[in-house]
Amino acid sequence: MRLKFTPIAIHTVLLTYTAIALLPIALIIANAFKSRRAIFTDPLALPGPDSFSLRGFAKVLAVSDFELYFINSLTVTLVTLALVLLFAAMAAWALSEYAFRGRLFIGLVFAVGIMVPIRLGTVSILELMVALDLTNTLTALILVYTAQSLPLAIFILTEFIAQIPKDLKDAARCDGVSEIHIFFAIIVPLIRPAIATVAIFVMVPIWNDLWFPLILSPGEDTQTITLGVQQFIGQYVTDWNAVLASLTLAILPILALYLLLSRQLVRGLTAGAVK
Amino acid sequence: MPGVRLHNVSKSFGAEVVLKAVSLDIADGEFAVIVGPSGCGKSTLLRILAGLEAADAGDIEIGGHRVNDLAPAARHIAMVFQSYALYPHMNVYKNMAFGLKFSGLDAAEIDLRVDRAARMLQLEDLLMRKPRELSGGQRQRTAIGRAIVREPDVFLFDEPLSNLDAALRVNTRLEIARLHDTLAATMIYVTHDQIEAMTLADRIIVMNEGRVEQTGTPLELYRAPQNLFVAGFIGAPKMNFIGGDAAGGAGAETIGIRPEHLSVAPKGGDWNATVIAVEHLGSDTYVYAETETSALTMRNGPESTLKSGDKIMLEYDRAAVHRFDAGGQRIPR
Ligand SMILES: Nc1ncnc2c1ncn2[C@@H]1O[C@H](COP(=O)(O)OP(=O)(O)OP(=O)(O)O)[C@@H](O)[C@H]1O
Ligand SMILES: [Mg+2]
Repeated sequence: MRLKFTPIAIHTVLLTYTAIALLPIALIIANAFKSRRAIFTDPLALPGPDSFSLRGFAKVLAVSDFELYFINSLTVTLVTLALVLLFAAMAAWALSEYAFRGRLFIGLVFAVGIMVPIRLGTVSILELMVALDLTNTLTALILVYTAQSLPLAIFILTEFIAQIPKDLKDAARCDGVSEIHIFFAIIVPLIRPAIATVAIFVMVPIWNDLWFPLILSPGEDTQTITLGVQQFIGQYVTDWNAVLASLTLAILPILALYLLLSRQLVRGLTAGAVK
Repeated sequence: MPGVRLHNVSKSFGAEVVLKAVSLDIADGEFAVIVGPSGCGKSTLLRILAGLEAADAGDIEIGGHRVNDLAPAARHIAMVFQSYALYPHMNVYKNMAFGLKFSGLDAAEIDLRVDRAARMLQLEDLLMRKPRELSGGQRQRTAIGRAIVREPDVFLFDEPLSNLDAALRVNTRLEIARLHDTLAATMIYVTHDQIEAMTLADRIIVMNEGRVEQTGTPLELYRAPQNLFVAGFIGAPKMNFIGGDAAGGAGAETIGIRPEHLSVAPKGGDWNATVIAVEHLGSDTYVYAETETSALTMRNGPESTLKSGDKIMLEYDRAAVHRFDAGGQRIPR
């Protein structure tokens, strides 16, 4: 027998899930605007006239190099994003369009890359970065994140590129359009929604990562925001106001990027191309 | 001399042999129509001509030059696809102009060509629209426009009208015929529509299972089909094939009689038959009848009063019979 779900049941499940997922974030934001005492006495309450306080934000902006962390995170995320999208789209195009020796092998390598967590290679990566004299640079992070994100990005984009009708590329070839122009002027605009999806997938884990910044670039000048926040978390005393405030601030840029990208997720872009 | 020549062109996909040593000679300015059943290799032939697919063997010449190793753009061809294949993110103007940008033409010349094509195809008011905002016929005209602006030596059409409704088909067919008169370019046109083939073609090429069965003017093919396949394929309704005594009497294995050469005998006649269906098309009436041994189709005038169940006597015009031998080849008169 097939189970039938009513729209109400489906929405109940989805709304519950959304609430569970959003609650911690809502808590962080709400408590970031409260005094230290209010955070502990009633963590679930919204900031009221008595409990409202901007102390955490003031502290974060005054005491720490918050702007620097911010710029570091943003640099790493955006540069990685640009590299991943460019290389992944090109690789996906090559893998789905051209028959060449070793295509299957290269495809397999990328597939394996999706399955094997890059953190398993942390020690070798660190050794490599030391040898290349890249420790405590943003470059190290960018390289690692690019490598980490490429397999999945290629996988998703290959699927999308394969869906572009063959006639479209053939028409362009008859039109005398070179392969590189077919890629940039036809393929890329048509997979824009997929590129936006991939961008969101790629950017969030990079922005949130603590592991590699801690290991590869813990230096004063190269700390990312996740690492910067740690200075407020002590072994004995934690400045919760500052921690929550900085986390709240850290959400903003990624949220802005998400909103920007999600506007690209327009479907039906190929409508009208082929009957 | 931008004629087109194929010499012993073969093509296989894996184990499947799609083209078997196809040779063709299409003159400069000729309108050649390739017809044949689905899967016989028409599109593949066109794609090989365009350079989108490589032939396994044989030579392809355009304008007297061997083009086997040239890229599509270097062959001076333009192809119109069955699916239109318009660039979905570009408006009509850009769809037509896009390819020209890479051919080294200056902007003024591109503008001129696009405008001229748009005027020819009545697309002037639609230039700023995206393909998804166009009707099927407008999309098709845009696709044709994109081919025209390249000013190619050879146009390749792959079933360009099959996605259009009947009325639009007739219009676009006439437009293509007019285009051929205006441009005087060589055109190679694939279709499985009989009427398109008969009306457009200077010469029809009938293909079957990767082979060319016969080429000739529409009337040549209609009047003197070289074998049973062509006889059955050209002409609608289909030619009647009759074996047995009637064929033996004519010195053939099989005889073919076109529906218009069958009639109801006033007296006497050749076969007793029962009418099983009648189709009134206005200008014509198709009568489907059954004799003891075979099913026959007869074309009558508009006034036919036959109805299904009628018992009739059929006779045929002896002078118009096509005779075929045991191998299915035509026996000359
Ligand atoms: N890229 C390909 N790979 C494998 N087989 C192919 C390929 N292209 C065509 N074929 C095969 O070649 C044969 C001829 O195909 P083709 O498209 O030329 O037929 P067609 O005459 O144009 O048919 P239709 O009238 O249906 O368009 C078919 O059996 C098809 O399955
Ligand atoms: Mg075809």
